[in-house]
Amino acid sequence: MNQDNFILKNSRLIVLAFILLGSLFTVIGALSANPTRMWQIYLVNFLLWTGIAQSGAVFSAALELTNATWGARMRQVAESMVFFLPFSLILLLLMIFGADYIFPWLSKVNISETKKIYLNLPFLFGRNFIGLTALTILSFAFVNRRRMADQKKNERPRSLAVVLLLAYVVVYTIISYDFIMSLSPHWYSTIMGMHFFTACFYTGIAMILFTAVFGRWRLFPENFMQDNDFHDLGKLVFGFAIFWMSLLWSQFLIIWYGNLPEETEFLQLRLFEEPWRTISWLVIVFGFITPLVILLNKRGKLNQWVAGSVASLILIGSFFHLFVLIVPSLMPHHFTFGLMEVFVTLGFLGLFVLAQDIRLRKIPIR
Amino acid sequence: MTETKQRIKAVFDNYERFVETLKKLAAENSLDIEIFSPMPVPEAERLFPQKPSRVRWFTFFGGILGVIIGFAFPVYTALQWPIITGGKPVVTIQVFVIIAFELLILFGAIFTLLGLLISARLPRQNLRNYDVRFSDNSFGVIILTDESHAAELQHLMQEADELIVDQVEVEKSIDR
Repeated sequence: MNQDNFILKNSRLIVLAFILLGSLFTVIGALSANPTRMWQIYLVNFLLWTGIAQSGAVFSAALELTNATWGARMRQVAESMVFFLPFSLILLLLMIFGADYIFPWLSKVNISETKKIYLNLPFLFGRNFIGLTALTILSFAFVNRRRMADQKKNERPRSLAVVLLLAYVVVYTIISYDFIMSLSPHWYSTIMGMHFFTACFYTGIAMILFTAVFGRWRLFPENFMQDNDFHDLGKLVFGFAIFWMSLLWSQFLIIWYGNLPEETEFLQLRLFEEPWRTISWLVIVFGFITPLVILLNKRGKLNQWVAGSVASLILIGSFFHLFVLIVPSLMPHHFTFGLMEVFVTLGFLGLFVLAQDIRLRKIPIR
Repeated sequence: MTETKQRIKAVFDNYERFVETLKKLAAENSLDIEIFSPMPVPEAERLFPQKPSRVRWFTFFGGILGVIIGFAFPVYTALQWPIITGGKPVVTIQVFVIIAFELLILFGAIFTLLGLLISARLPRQNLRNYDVRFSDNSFGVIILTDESHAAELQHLMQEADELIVDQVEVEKSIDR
């Protein structure tokens, strides 16, 4: 095995330092006077990285189902992200300690008895843990069977791909209802689930493009990804930018047209009140306008540095997309972004990179 | 004003030999060549790069036209019968975005089809160099050349299953 190809060859210490500092700040934040500040950014990162890791398997399953052969190389990059999923199960369980600060309906806000049937702590963590465990097992089973099928050891796992995709849609809809929508207990939106899992998939594709550009010296052999791979990835990102925006627009339009107070308060806060207004626009500029303008051009897709930069902007946009969905629900009038937020995020990033590295040590990309 | 040229038509039944011949021909410069294939041949696109097609401009302007109509038509009709519904303004741009988006796609697609037909001059009656086999199971290469080069090019294409050479009168100094 060629050890030179792995991410951590020189930066092992940096990644471990990220994880250590991240966990340190997580503990400090949880014990501080205002634990909500830590737990909200923890939740944002949990959803972001879990979504990215999961969409790696989902991307591969989608390629399997459509008989797509053009993605043979990029799907290996996608599948290398899946190893984060077991870590995310542990991270989910850790959130039980912060439940009191994350979920306003536990103590701060009164909700009706009928809502309590669905919104209570044991059921919430129970269903999400079971759902994510099932998805993790399905993803690992699918990725392994697909790799075996490549070596002609078994049949192509097409039915497993169908099950995985359906489970993804169901579980991620539940996650979005539980971890995003329930934070404003009186607000509801039916399209939230679709919006959320589309956003996760979009972020995942952007992550594949990002990894393909910035990880190639360490992740895989020289010239592994070729021009037409970047062209295809660019087209995918471009398409999903439009799709994601059209869902956002459908969401906005229905609320705008209905003009019901319990629905508009959610958008009022995020679109018209500072500082959330600025962040919302930043999300739209990074997540939609930049990829739309730059990746429309074939040269924009083929120039790896341009495409990679667009992908990193999309990742930043996705982070703030979740940020602006979650944080204003919990702390509507305080905006803080300091060392705490940065280091918790870096901790998650370090864990993600570590997980990917463990996977790549076992199964190198070739 | 016309001149006499040699037209060499080569028909291939085998994909590998076809691509091999294309590679040999790509080394020749300033070749008046037409390639026919019943399926996409990535090698041909790489070996004989072409100028970007004009069809994209049809798509572009079709899309822009769609957006303009998608906004202008709803605004015009709304102003012709201005009823305030649900406390919303008469001209609701937010809603018309959807119509503009749909018409962008519709007009873009229709203009792309029109652009394709116009650029390819379809439908047309006289397909001079065409052979029905090129839509079935054969690949074809047609080269127009001076008599001086003909023998050399024929030699390059000797692996063809069928090689037809004839004299044609072509108009002088017209770039195809």
